[in-house]
Amino acid sequence: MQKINYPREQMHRIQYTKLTQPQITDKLAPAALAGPSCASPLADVLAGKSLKINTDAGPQLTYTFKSRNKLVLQEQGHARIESGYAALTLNGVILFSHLLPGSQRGYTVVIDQGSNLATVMEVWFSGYKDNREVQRELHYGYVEVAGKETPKERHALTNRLEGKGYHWRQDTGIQTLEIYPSVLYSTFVELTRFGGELCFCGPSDYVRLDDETYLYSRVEAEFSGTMTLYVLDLNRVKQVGMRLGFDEQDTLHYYLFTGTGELLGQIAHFEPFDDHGEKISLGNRPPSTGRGERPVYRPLLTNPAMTKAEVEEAVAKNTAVFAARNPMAGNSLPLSGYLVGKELTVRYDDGGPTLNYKFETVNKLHWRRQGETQWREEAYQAWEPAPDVIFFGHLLGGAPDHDGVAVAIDFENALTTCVHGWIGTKYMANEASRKTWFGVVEMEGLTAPQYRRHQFTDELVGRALTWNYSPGLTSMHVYTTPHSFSWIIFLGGGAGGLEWSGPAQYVKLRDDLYLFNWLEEACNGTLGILVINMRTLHDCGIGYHCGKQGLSLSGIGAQARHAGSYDLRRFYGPKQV
Amino acid sequence: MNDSTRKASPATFVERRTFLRDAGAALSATVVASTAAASSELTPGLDAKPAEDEIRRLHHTFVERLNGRRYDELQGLLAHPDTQRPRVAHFDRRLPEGLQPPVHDYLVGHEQYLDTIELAPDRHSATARFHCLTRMEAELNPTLPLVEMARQQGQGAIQWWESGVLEATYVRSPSGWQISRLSFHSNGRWSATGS
Repeated sequence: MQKINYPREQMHRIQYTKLTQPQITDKLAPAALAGPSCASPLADVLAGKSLKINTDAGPQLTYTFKSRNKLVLQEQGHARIESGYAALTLNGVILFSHLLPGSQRGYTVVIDQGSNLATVMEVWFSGYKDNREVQRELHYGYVEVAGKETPKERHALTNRLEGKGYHWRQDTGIQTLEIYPSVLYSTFVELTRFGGELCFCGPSDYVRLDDETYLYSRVEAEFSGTMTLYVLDLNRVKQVGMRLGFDEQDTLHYYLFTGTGELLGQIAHFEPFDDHGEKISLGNRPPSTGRGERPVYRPLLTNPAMTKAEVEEAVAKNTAVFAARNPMAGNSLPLSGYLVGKELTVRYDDGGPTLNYKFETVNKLHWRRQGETQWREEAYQAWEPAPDVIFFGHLLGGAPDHDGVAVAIDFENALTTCVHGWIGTKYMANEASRKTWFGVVEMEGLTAPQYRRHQFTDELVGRALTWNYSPGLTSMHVYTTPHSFSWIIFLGGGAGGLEWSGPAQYVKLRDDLYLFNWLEEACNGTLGILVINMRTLHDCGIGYHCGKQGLSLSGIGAQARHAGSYDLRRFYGPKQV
Repeated sequence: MNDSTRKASPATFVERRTFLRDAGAALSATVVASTAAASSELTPGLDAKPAEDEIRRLHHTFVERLNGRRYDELQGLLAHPDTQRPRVAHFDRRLPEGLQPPVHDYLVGHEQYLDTIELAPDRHSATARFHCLTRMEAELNPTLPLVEMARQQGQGAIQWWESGVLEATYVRSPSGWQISRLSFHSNGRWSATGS
């Protein structure tokens, strides 16, 4: 029987219910009274105690803990409220969490018993137009202790976690892979909940409690809106945390958890050496004024889905094939004339296309499907990413879905791989689809192999590469799973910033030479195809995109730096559970 | 005699003034005493100093508004606001692929000993040359997904430093001196950083 929990739809395809405020209030009410559940024994360290937490420019919270699961809270200037709560401890740090009955708010509080410093994560629902998305605000402060001076130090934002990656196994049995390549975002792979096929990203917080203890949180913004928050101990690789949100069935999850982890790697981060990340520089973005405001990438807000009619209108209006000004190709390889004058056939297996080619110039080719008599002229570009390996692409004029191909040919081995793209999926009319075909090249002087082919690989999985496309335009790829990756945009000071992810495929062309493609699904719909040369740390590639500006096929070229790698590959693939 | 309609003498009237940089200021309007050499070329009856002082004040105002990104307020300093884009940089030269024309620029320094103001003999026009260091800022192509993400976190622009000569021509209108043309002649040195 199946033991891997593959979802019917992956996270980015789920149509999460737009919960109303009354629905949320109703669903929260029992949990506010009972407090969060927990699979592990709760800590009773707070039972029978009272404490007052003062935060800087935030709430003053006076707690009386009646037992190990009931508390009374008086927020400054407000009436006393009784609620359920739960607490866990880790390495001298107390984490407790509760909701406020009759509201959609709550607090998760972290107290360092040694320093009496406290960090309060205030959370609430219905703070964004998607009510189910948990909003949060961090408040830094301390526990007031009679006769003791007010501590001057505070917990603070940090980049000390940036670059780390962990495997976590919770007391609930839930396993995740979590990577922190940014100070604003993180990447996570749900091994248990979603079968571990794809990685996803969420806006995140990183707070330093002390040199070995940190607070991390993320919100699954644009998905379920769930918050996961935990304190982690770097030396012991343990966590205690809280999860709050509604799943795809709109069931409330509000529980504390403990977990044990494994450090899977630490990649480089790129701030100046004396920048420890206590402040996040957001360039010329206007200062935040709203409670809980922070940069959150909302791809479908930025790139609204188009209808089929809108796609046809946009394509008819503008189809740009390798337009001249393109900052994504600022560090492009030189165009190759390798193919000029050649006539060849690429023949793909398993019902794939067979295409005849005549290459007239460095940017003009003629093609036809095998059996057709009529040649079609097309603009193309080609590069030579490794000796005798040519990568080129063009549109397939006349195809109903504005199809295009990106073709890698290895003339030394007479092998070829084709990524065939077309516009439209069952989800979005302007989103690219793709099919990857393996096959051989036939040409005078070449004898194609009968059995050998390029093939999918996981050799890049776990690696992180920065890509500099042109001045001011640099990103980092983290090749997180065999079927997806995430990309990170750097902040001005070199810290990782906003992130997003998409399904991906990896094909090995030769040792240290890979054909990589990705889809920006539920996003702008782009299909990107790159040949990555790990020896030269340079790529060449093609972006295939349809948006309001029309259809485009454009070059990509960037120089890479190897940022490091994570030990991830062993977590994927069919397994005996 | 004070005849502003008389023709210029065969030798172009040139008067040089040296600017001093006020430490920390973007540009200084502080003036060092005129060079002795210029006095021998004075046109009788026409004292250059008031005009130069007014031009320097105009330039100082221009720099203050430019560096403060108060571009709308720059228009009032221009003789032909419809034809003159109010930026230092009027780029007729190659920029990196994908760069839009600069959206911001700043004048941050002078090599004052090279700066000049040349008044026409009739005192109705003038040309000034300022050797300066500028910081340019241009947006990257905003339709690119990566750039769109960068813009949401306050980046998506490129900044670079460039040294060169800002040449400004001025005309005297009934309401005072105005800038009739600005051009920036880069010496071609630049280094870029993403923003």
